[in-house]
Amino acid sequence: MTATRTWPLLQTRLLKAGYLGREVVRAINLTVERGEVVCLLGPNGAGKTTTLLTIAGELVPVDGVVLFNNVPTYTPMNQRVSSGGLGLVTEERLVFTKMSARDNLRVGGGSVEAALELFPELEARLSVRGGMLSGGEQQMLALARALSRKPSLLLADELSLGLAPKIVDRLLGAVRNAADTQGTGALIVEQHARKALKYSDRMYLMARGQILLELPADEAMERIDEIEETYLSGTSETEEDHIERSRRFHRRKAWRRQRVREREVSRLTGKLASTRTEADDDYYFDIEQSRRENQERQKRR
Amino acid sequence: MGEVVRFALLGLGVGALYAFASQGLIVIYRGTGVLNFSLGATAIAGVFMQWELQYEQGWPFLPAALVGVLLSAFLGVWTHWWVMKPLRRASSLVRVIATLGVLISVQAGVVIRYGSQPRQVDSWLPTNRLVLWGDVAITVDRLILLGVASASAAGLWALYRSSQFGLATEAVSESERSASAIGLSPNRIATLNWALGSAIACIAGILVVPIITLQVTAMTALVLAALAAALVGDFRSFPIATAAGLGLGIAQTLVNRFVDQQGFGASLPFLVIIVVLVFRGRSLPLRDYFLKQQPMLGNGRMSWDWTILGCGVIVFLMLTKEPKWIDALTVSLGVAIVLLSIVVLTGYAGQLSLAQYTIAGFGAFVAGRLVAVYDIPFLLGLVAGVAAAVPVGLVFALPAVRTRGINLAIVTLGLGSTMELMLFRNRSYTGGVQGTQVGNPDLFGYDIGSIKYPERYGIFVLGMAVLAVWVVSNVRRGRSGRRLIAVRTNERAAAALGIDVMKAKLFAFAFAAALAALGGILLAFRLSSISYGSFTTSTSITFAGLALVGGVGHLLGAFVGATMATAGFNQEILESTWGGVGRWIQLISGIAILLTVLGYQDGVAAEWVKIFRYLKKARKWGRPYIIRLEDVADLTAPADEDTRVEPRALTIEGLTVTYGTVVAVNNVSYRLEPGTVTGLIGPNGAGKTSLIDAISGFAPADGRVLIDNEDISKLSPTRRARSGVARSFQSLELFEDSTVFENLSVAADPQDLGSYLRDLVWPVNPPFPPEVVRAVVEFQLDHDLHRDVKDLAYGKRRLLAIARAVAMHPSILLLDEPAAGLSSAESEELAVVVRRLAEEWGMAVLVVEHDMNFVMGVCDQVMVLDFGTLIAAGPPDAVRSDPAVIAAYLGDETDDPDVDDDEPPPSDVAAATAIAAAGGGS
Repeated sequence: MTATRTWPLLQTRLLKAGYLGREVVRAINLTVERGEVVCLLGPNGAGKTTTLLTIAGELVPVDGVVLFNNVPTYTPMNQRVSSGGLGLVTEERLVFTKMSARDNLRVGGGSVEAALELFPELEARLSVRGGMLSGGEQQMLALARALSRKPSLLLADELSLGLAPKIVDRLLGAVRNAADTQGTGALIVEQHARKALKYSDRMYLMARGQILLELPADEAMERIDEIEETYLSGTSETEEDHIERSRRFHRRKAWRRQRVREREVSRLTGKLASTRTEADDDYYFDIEQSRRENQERQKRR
Repeated sequence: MGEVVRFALLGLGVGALYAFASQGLIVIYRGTGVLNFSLGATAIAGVFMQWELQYEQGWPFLPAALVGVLLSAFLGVWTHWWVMKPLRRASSLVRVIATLGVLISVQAGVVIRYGSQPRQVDSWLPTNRLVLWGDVAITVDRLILLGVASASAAGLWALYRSSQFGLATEAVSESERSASAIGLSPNRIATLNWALGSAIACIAGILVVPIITLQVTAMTALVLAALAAALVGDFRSFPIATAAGLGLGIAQTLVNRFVDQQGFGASLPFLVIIVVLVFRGRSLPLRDYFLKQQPMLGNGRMSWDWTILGCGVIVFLMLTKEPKWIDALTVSLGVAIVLLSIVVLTGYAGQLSLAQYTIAGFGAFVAGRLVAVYDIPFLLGLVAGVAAAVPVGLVFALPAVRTRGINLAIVTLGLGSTMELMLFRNRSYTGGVQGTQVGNPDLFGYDIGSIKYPERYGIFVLGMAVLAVWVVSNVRRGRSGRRLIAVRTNERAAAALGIDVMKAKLFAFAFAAALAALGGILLAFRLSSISYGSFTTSTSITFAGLALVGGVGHLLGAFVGATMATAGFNQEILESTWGGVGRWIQLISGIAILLTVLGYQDGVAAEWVKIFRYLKKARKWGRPYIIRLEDVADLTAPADEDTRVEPRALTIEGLTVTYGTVVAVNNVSYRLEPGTVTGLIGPNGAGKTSLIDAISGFAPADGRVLIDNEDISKLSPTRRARSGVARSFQSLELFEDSTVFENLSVAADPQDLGSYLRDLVWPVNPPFPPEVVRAVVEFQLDHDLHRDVKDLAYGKRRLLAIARAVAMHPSILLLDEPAAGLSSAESEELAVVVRRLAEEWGMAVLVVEHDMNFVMGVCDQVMVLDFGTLIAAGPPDAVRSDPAVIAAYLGDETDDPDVDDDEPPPSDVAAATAIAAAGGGS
């Protein structure tokens, strides 16, 4: 134990997101340290973007908290970006089509010079309107704007979406560089696993709203076949399993509370209340489940 | 020539006011996306404050002006914070009505404090004449105004072009989401823009009031002229709008001087509006908010016992009360008929019209002139007036084909104002100073004149109102009503079901015009002399507000709203209980509109319906409303009825879709065979939905789409749907306020034109054909037919969306992510159904889906798109092991599979926490 403990830059604790009763993201724990690039991989519809937007503050978590430097944060997205040191690049590219590229860089209070240092190729296109830039240039513009404000945490959603591999290298390289030189922490959502892993330190694999796997990037490279399998088959816990598991979790908690109460009652009154122990719980779970299935079968009839 | 120039220069004064006000409108629009009809009222409040401080309190001019401008700015900010911000996700109708509520309230407040008589204000600008040349002179104040307007335009132009604030406003106006993602606060920017816009309008008022006299209504009406100037500037360009405003002022002065056509000058701005909006063919880009709400719809069922009870009460009141009460009831009933037209047009069809009372006036005009000049019987005049309003309604509908939402509202406002100014205000058409003398109406010789027998006329109006409700109820429950609701919810979805959107809109406008005319005629013939000056645009606007407050989706809403009309039932109640209420009535109704809009956006009637439903459930009142499958279909028919579709193949040849410079679909050719399921997969943004859009006609595409050998690539989406291509939408696009039954019927209905007429008297709901019954059973919707879509569970909604497409009995079925968001059990069931649709029904099915289990399990063939190009096609197993497909999904890394030199070492923390955890959390 050292005297000064540094907290991770970003932590989510049992974060649930989506709609109440139909969470797209189900109780995930993520951490991002300073100077670390973490990628969030997974097939379409796994809940990656929802996770990212919830961390950014665009969506309100259904349950759980997002902590920046160990501080639970509830401010709206624009405050996190303007004064909370958050940099954000979303799928929509955040380029204003009617403004020139220069104005686009200036608009959030960013510095044009710093942005050009990152991507010198933008200099020739500064007076072109945002809508006339190519997809790669737009994405560079958005990333340059986010990085030029020296954020402590960068969130990037599908930087590679619809772009040629060469430009993706350029973009991810800039993220890597910011992490190495400025200590920026980055959480990047990607579908293209190999590309993302090349530039990151660690990865989380998500499917069906849950984190299946957390691995350092080099290990993940070795197990890439396993990850690919998830993409093309979507094997994961089904929703029924998840519902059943969470139901058991809550019941177990309730029973435990009841047991504490009963023990208290028996201590005060001297009467023996119940002899059931925690080991019996599973037995009762199975009984409950079979009863429920019976009921459903009868309802269907 | 000299005279022309002289008058043109004279017009600079009012032109400067237009220019200023248009600048204010543009500032607020750019910052918030709100078209602020209340701008004039907030400005005049500040001007009056300045006037009071300067002339009654003896303040010097500048401090007084400053306080006035601050008051206007404060009112603007107040409007934003307390009215517009809570309503930012409301429908455009609600937002327009909210600004009108502010207009009415502020204006009424000013009238209460300062009165409505015009005041002459001395100009503090020098007014000495400056001779330009010959006999052409100009007063110096006009020149100064011109200078200030131009300077202000230039200043605003510079501000919005290069300052950080201007950039932020521009960013917010393009996309609020993106703007807040880069750290801008849309709310702060909106507040600043509201303050700035209101302040500019107030400064304009203070400067120009010496020329146009200080009067409350003068300023509020000017907003409409400013709207025209702002529209010319496309709600963006300050210099163009300023020039247009000045030009408009000059043109108006010239027209008034040289053209001998009454009302032409005044209606010039509206003509400009119509020309700009309809013929430029481009409409204001309005902010598209996530989850924009539509007003709630009633089910249109009439309960006869309640109707008879209500009629009995009204007849009893009419027979026993004194004439002023009878008159109030008659007015309310007449207004209710006009409001019913708004229920049809705005509630059911979703078309925003601010001219219904003007159309009512037109009906009354035709009927009144016929009766007065040709002396025809009242009833014949009534029928003629109603009939004559139909073509007028169709004329008003023409802009609706091209514009929608608030743009449509502006066009109808322009058309209505033009009609009011040129027809109703023109005494040579309306029978001179004393109005049109129509005498006492009679029914086949039986005198029902309101002067002598108010109760007879009242009961006649009641009868007509019941008739109108019955007809509207028929339309709501019939085929045509379902089409209107489909158009209101989503024009694309409606077209995908084979509904002709244009014809549905034309019907809505024509039908609503006839109803409005009926109401207008009944209101007009209350008096023996009709003065058409009362059929004003501002009353049209107020009526739209009343319809909304009453409940624009409900039959009952029209009657609730109508009690609040001027000279209506509520006013009579207020006046008989509190003598001096007359002064306050405008303020009360303005605040009532605001509060209702803020609290109950669906209107009073919708709240009543909610309470009634709750009571029904909790206290077991009445019978629950249930539709059983056997009620709507003939189940006794032989079960072995053939539900197979006509087997047809879909061929696409070289289909290419481009958006700007992006190629979304690149030269894709494929053939869908009947009786097979084809999966379409690919990474995000690969162009899957674009391909479906191109096939169903929603995206312009090059290449050919053939059904068997018939080329459908030139057809509209509606025609393609009718020739057998059905599709579902990723976002479902169900008709939320309707029942499951109605959602399915709208797809199963034949698209005939005759039902528009037949539904008026007899809504036809023939039994479901066997294939729809089978679809209902297949998707397990048979117990939910009577449920509203909004009450369904998510999985059921997805199934309903597919069932609706299947109910069209198409040969080719395109499904866009049918299993997204379904649980694995549900998606397994869906897979079985989709399989059956192909095998037993013989459809050619194309499925876009991300769930690989689903795709691999259900498809015979799989096509893979990447960057819009077809990279693989074939049986699922072959596609799955295709290296190109894996590369598309996982990123093309075939060139360097090994670790790069610049590969960073993983950090210690990451290595330490490397765990393989199946399932995070709990």
